[in-house]
Amino acid sequence: MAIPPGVSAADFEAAISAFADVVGAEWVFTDEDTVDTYRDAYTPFRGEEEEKYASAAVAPTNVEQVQEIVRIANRYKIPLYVISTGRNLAYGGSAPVYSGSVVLDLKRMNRILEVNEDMAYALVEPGVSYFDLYRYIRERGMRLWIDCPDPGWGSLIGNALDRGAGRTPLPYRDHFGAHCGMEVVLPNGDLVRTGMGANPNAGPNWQAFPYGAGPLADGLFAQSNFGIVTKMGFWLLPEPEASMTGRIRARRHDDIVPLVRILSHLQYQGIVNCLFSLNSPVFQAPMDERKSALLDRPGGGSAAEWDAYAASLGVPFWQTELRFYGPTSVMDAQWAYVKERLRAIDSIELIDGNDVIRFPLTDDQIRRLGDPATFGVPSLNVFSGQAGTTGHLDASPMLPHSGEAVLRAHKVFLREYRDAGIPLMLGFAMSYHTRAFIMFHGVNLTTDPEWNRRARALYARLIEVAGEHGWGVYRAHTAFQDHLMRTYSFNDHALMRLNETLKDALDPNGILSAGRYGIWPKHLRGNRA
Amino acid sequence: MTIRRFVSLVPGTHRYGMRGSGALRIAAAVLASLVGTATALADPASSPGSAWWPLSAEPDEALTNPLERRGREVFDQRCRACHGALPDEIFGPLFVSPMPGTRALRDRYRGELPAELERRTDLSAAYIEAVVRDGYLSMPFFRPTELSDDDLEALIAYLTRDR
Repeated sequence: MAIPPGVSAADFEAAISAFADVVGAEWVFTDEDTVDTYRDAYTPFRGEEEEKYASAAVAPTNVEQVQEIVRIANRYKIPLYVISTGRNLAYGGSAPVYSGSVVLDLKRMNRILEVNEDMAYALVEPGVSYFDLYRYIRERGMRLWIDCPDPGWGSLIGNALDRGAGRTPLPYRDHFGAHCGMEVVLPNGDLVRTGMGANPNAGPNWQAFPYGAGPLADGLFAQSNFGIVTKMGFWLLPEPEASMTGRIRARRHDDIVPLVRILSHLQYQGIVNCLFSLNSPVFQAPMDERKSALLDRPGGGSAAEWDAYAASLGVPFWQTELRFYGPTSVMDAQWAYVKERLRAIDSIELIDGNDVIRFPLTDDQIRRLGDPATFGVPSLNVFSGQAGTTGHLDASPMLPHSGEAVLRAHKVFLREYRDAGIPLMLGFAMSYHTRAFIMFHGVNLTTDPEWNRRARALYARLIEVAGEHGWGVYRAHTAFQDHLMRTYSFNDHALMRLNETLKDALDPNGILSAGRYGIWPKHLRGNRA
Repeated sequence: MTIRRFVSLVPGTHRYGMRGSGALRIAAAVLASLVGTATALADPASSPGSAWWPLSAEPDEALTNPLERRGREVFDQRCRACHGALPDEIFGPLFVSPMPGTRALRDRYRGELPAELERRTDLSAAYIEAVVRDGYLSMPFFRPTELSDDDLEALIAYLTRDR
């Protein structure tokens, strides 16, 4: 049996036995085979020494058990690492940041506590997956949508706490942004509810008004290790009547500047509220000598040079598709107004989708969906793009809504991929959030350690370059979270000093998820990568 | 009784050992499927069956062995979203293709073996267990809190049944 570093065999044995008293012996895993399922399935260190391992795992089924486990961990100074469904693939999966931690697996806490159709919210536990909530709503014929990330087997709570996003209208696709109210077990075993949940009489008001009174604590529990979220409320979208699309193409390099300005203002007005991606058939085409030479020109090539290159490829510089959700009369009016505004760009091409889809979808339609998440239907289809790999890393810088920033980011990141000798993966800006684009970049992992070494070097470089340009990456694989947090360094890392002050106050024994997002307990700060 | 074996599916992944397969646990799985309590969800407000599939599944009435029937449910709940039959046509926009597992196996076997796992007759218990608990390339492995040893036994019974 593996033992956490710094813990005596006797203490570990006593802690394991105490865990078993709380959850039942069958839900404490210490045999090597089972503990091995608490690895990172998409580790960038496959077969290498740096891969992270758990020492054991414990799977409670209710809040009281979580509180007891935390108290036991404090008594014996056992490092815990918390997972919800353990499906945060590309960001560390179910493996701890600090090798030897005991994984606190919340998958069995899988109760959907409430779905309120009139007030359009859900209250769930961490083990509830997007599939679970979708099925619950559909089986009851409720006219509500969930918003899910592309793989639907993950936890609503886990994804929101890592600030994941999905693909239905705003505000729902920003999963942390669309939550309302939390229940949290603190590292000392105390239990708190945030927002209106702190009012014992709140009832549905817990999921109605996020702030309550006093400091808003919720942010402390996302991308951190300050507590264990055991309940969380989410606002849900009442099912739209229908959906349709319109397509947009712009021919020239510089068209992105007015295109972003107009689309972002339409988004701020609520006229555009879909997820759209700003694709560039020019930047996203495979690297060639001319493109490579342009990237090395002063400023990464002029607009005229790029336009000449695009003309030689015979493709528009930019294209995107807008999706509308609602009654057809409203969608028609929205699209008509979008077209009116975009005609200010003289190269613009506006194409009606003529593709109205009405809701609810039938079972047969759902079985045949090619893009389920667009309609809030969970699936695992996104893994279709990954055959032959052993996973991937995802580096996603956040850009402000500025066409100039989009242009600059394309050129900067293309150069990094070229210099690393790794083909561009993804490489486009998407409107996941209200006021910023995620510019998705991925790096595939394989069974070849030499390739994985290069993939890791590129990934680390993407994080640094994003930081240098002020486009901080919003989320990272656990092995790179120290690296990521170092780019958030204003005033000599004052933010990390604040995080460490909070960590020491809330978790003086440093038992909870050591190292998560670069936050190490005092006795392990030498571990920082 | 524990049978230990070592199967290296992917270079670089480390050893895999098979867990015990006691008759008692199989009996428990049979009983659970008969009385319909094979779900970890206790609260009446919860969904009656957690599954990685958006729709309710239909039981296969042709299966008479309770363990195989439970195995078919496990396949519906844990496998079908990747390893089900490819749809004849796509509805709505196409972002990424449905059934990633079936597509990957179709590309791999190129007709030498069926791409759909439910149509395979050559799968062994050891192989199924190894893939489920150790993963294979981009298919991750699954923990007992997601797919219990009992459910894995049932899944194996379903996929390796006499046909």
